[in-house]
Amino acid sequence: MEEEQSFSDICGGRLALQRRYYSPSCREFCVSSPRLSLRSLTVVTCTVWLVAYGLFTLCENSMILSAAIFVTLLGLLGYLHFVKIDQETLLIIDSLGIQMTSSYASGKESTTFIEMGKVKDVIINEAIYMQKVIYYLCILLKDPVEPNEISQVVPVFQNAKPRLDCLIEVYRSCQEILAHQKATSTSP
Amino acid sequence: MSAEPETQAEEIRWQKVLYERQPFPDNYVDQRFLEELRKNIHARKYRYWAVVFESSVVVQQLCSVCVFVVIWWYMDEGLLAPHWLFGTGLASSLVGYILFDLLDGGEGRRKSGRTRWADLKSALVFITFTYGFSPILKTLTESVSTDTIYAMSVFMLLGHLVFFDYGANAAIVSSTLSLNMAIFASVCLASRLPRSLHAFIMVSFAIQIFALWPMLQKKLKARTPRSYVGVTLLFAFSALAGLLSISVVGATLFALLLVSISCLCPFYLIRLQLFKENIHGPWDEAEIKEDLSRFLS
Amino acid sequence: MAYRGRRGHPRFAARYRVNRGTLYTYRTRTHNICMVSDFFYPNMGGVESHIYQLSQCLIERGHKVIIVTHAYENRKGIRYLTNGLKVYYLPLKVMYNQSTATTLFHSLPLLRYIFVRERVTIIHSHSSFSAMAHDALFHAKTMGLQTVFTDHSLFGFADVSSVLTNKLLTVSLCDTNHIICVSFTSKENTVLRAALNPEIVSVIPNAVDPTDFTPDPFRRHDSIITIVVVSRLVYRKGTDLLSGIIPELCQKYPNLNFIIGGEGPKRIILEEVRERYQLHDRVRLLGALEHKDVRNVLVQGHIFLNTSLTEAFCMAIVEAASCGLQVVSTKVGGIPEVLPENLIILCEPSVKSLCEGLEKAISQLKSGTWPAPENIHNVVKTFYTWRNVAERTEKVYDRVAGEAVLPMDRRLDRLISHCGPVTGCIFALLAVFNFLFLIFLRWMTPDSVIDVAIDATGPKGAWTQQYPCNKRRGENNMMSKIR
Repeated sequence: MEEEQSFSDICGGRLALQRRYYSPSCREFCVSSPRLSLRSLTVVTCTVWLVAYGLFTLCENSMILSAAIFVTLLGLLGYLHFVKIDQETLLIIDSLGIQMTSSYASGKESTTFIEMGKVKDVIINEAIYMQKVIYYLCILLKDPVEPNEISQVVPVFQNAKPRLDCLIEVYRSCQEILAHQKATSTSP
Repeated sequence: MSAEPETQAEEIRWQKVLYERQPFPDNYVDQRFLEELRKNIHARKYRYWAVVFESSVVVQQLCSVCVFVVIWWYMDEGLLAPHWLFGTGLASSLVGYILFDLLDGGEGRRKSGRTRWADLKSALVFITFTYGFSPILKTLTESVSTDTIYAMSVFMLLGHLVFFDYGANAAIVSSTLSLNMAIFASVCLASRLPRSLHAFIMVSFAIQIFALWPMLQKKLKARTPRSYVGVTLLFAFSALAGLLSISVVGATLFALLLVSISCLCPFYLIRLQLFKENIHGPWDEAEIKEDLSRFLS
Repeated sequence: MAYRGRRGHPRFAARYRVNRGTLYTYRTRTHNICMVSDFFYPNMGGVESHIYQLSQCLIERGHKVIIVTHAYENRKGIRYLTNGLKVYYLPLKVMYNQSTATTLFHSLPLLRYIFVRERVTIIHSHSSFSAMAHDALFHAKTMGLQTVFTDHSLFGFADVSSVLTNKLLTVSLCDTNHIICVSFTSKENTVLRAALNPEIVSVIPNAVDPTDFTPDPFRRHDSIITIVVVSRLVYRKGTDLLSGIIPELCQKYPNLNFIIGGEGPKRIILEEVRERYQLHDRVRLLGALEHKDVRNVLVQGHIFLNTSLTEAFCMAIVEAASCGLQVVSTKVGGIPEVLPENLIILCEPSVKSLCEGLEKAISQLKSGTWPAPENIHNVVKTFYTWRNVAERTEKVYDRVAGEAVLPMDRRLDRLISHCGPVTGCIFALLAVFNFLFLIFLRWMTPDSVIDVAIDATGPKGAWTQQYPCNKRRGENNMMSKIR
């Protein structure tokens, strides 16, 4: 079962939330931001080259032009490979754990897995971020020594920063699974 | 709070208390509002001639600086022989010294417990040391360019005037700093003079006019105000005459400055007093009037 | 003061939920109030407890209240206190005396974001020493929100610094809707300082929690008389006078002891006095006291001595009287308004007069004409309550909510006509810049993009809500889900 809904991020940009319900104990949420548009790419490239050409007319050194080409190419590569995240996925499996994957525009993926035994809770928290106050979803990790304490807070969808309505959808589904997990782990 | 104040206003009077719930709104303004306000309770009434008399301290100090610069100019031009200046200075110092004791009949001396022998000793020590060090004083700032020396002297003399103790109780007043600045200016100027004897005489003259002369003035002012006015006028006219012999424009400007300080400024001060609105009331921080140090000493 | 909320997340709504549906009634009009001040817990003082207690009582009366202050060391971000009172600790630079630096602009983006997401309708700033409070007033007026200001302190008119601060206060308050002062003297002072119309200044005193300050006559020894002093040991609190009173009275009365609570730069002179007159066993210096320990110190004494040189509303003497102590105080500022004459002995701010006052108190104590502590407590506890303060503050809010905020052109007119040609023009220009900055921010992040914050307090708040209504969608629905 799969459904897709459209939301926006905290700056007003568009986001798509895909939910895949594999089974009652396993769900996947996938927040994807729009791909790199050709228009913005062209605009950035043109500005860099125009600036470089302006500098070239001033100091008449052709090194600048070649440097500009290198800078745009390397910058684009770096941006696609390290900065631009197209998709963030949260896979939650009852009795196993939570896996967070972020896929970069270049296709690179980085994955974090947290086993269920460590997860204390999934909550929505508020934070001051830059000049904004935002809501974000985060996973609370148990302190290995004292199970009632929180040792770490792991933010989810850190890059996309969806708005509250989107977070609530994800939050609810997560809570259902956590409740299910608690019920099954305590009952037998 | 606003339970029909109109009907009960006759019977219930508003009280300036917080612990009672009164039948008035919270933003009620009573007739007694600001009744404890007082204005200008510490304001002083000035009389014109009294202010003019007090301003003579400033005039005196301006004239001292003027006389000092004029004398230096004469020495620099070679118009004034150093021996002559030294002789006159010594003689006038002696006269001043005797006057200083005569004015209060030796009362100050008895209080401080200083003997004449001690005075003589410190004078001798000072003169010999200045004389011994005068070659150093002469060459101390010789390598500095003349423009810098002039600029520095001007700043130092201005500083001397700013920080001088005119009798005001302000934080900026510092008589030691003021005296040091004047002496520094004299050392600077002395280095432009032809010989080290000149330098020695210039510095000792600076001590006389900036350190000893104000002390005598203070005593004169306290003991015989009439003669103090006479001395001030005489001093001002001689400073003006000295300046006149160098530059007519300078003398005119200086005369204008003196007149405005001693006549116009007091007038303006008294006029401005009319606009004074110093507000006092129960919100003022209370002052501790007693001397509490007796509990600790 | 209980810090319940440790980390600001909505789960706490479920954890510390209090059933208080019986306590508040749904009012016809509720307000969304934002209290702004540089001074809040963990800092300690009169302003801090005033803000906290007032907020709690307003929440109890069904309003939504949030508090905005600056970050204290690592206490940054958003925290929840008892009853879902939300506190924003903003990461702004602290300049001097816990007050933030002001540029009139740099705090606008964050404050505007908060005002929008919390749907604030009334900005209530506290303390004239707080730069942040004035900034918030300035921004709120630019955004067209109603503003209220509470002044907690007195200020003279004599020196240069007060001339400047009074000018700034004039600018800040000339277009503020309403001002609250803590005593009549403070009102007179504020009206003069800021050149205000006295009609828009209300007097609402501070309050003390009488249940925190109950007498305990068994804690004190009746063979000796103990005088208690609790204040910061600084010049303004008259520590110098105290250093004169101690030797004077200790020589006269052999069975007299002093207990002095508080810390400050003037502690050294008290130590010197103690050293010089060999009073180590009779004068106890306790050092800094926590607010919760104050009562335990107060009940050990018979007489409370206040030597302040200036005071808008002295909380300490009310606390002491509530503990059943006999109060001797200097007659400065708003102190004569605070307690009735039969509960306080007022003296001039001098060693001689204060010693006479204390001797009178001692003789009353010895002759037994002084009423029992329990009786005093019962009288005093009716004087000042936070509920009463909240009720009266609410009236101010109701009044303010009905008023119109000055539109930009009238505000500029008011600034120029009211604050003098030079200052007025400068601040009118700054107001225009602020307005342009606001338009820029609205263009960058439109109000529609800002999420509405989940309401922790107030009539629809997650904390006070008793019957979660399933029809309510969105955030409230989520809160009920969490339970």
